[in-house]
Amino acid sequence: MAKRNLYIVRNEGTSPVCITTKDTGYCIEGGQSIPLSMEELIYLNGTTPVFRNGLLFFDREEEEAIYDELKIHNWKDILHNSDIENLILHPTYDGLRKIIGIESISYFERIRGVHVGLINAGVDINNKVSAVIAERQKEFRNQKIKSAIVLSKTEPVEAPSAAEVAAMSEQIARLQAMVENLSKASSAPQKKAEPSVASVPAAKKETDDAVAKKPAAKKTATKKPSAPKAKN
Amino acid sequence: MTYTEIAELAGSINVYELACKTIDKAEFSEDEATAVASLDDWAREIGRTGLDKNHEIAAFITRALNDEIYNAPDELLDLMFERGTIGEDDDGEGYSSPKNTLIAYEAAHGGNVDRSFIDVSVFTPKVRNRQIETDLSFKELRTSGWKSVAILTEYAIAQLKNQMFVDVLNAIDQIITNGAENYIAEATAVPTATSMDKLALYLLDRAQAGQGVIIARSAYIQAASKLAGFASNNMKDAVNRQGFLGEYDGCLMKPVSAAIKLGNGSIVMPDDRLFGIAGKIGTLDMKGEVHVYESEDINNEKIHLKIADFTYSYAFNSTTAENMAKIVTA
Repeated sequence: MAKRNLYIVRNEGTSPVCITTKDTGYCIEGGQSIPLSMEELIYLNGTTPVFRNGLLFFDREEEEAIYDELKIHNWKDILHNSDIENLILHPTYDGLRKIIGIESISYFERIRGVHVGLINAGVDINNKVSAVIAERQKEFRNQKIKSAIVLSKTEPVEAPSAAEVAAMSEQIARLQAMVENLSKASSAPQKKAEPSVASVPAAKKETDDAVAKKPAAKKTATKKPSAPKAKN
Repeated sequence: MTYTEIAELAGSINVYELACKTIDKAEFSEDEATAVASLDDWAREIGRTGLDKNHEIAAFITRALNDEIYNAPDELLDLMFERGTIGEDDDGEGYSSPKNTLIAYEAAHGGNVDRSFIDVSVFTPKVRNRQIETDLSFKELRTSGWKSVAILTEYAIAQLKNQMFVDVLNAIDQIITNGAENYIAEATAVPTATSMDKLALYLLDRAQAGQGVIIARSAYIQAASKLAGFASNNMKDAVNRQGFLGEYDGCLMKPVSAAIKLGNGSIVMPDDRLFGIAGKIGTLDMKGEVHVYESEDINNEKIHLKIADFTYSYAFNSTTAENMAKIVTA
């Protein structure tokens, strides 16, 4: 273990955290830190979830050794305030699962605190994240420790690579050439049917115009009587 | 028993008190005993015939509700809020006494300094409306008579009041978030001397002695009462006799029983929380009057009761929220 006897314990939040060791109690104000001995840390970790909930953290250089000594093996999963901010601002499936998976009220209140702080700062937050946090809070209020919130995973659509785009555009070019060839080959018999094909859209246009009764309908000769009507 | 006699009875006695006494099997005074006897006959008659001609049951519950909810003091909520009533169709608006943000600048004689301002903020109240619907069977009326009406009345009033308390406390809980000065994180599962001192100091800084209130589940108040260190003999005696101390550092301590539950089984006082309130934090108004509707359902042999329009509005905002604090235990 480290050579020093005392280890810095830091309150990264802005609310006070009150701890009681074997002999005395401390109230660590927001952003402040106090030195504690390893015995005190072991006692605190044994009687409270204060380190596991991320209410208090250690110095970055010595945290690994201390967490090891306290037998908190998943210490990398404990969310710092900056992590929480990141989870809220850049939500992912796994990130939201982490928020939903929290089973301690004091831990969850940290998430809610950061969330409210961001809203008060005027940051644009994804509605779904806010909904998940509100819903989870409702569950805590109803003493539901294990969450029943179900998230559905959406697979992101991957953008095609440059090679795929090139292959596709080549394919389209080939198809275009093929269609042109086909239309050239079949142009002679199509000519006969042309007048009837053209008359259909024209007739349709007339009925459309009659319904709309717009002055623009003047264009067609048949529409002339109805045009002044529209003006009236 | 005629209609006028029942109406006279309801006018001369406190019907809610009578209902409570009936349930608790307390002793009646002479007047009350005669009242209960007549009411019993009246209720059994409804059970026999299935006819409540003038909707007396509904009128009875209405009277008890209005007596109890709009006129009786409610200790905890009265400590926390300015109570009042507003009409059913009226609207309310809250004002907070503004923070003193005037600045006294150092100035040269005859010169001017920057102006400073105070901000009077307006807040709109949140209105909630609660309603209970239930059935009272003819069989029940025949068997238990007046007592069945008394139980229904007392239970309905208790649930409506508890629900209002829960709604208000949840709103307070919601407004105090981690990151603020008034959010105190307690590492252990019960309040300790450190966190209680912190909370009491926060309240004392903002209220006169005796005006700060700490409200929590009885388990937490018990733990706070038994903190070792500076207990005098008087304090020890008080704890031994009553289980709780009435005060902590000049702040009243009000335990809320963990046995009080809402109809759906949830507990009235949230777990893991101690709330501190320094003086009045806002307004809580009862809106309009409760209406009780009733219809006899002969086919199903019961009376359908609808206790509606229990409407209240509460108002506090972030400025008044500074006068509240909470400890969250782990």
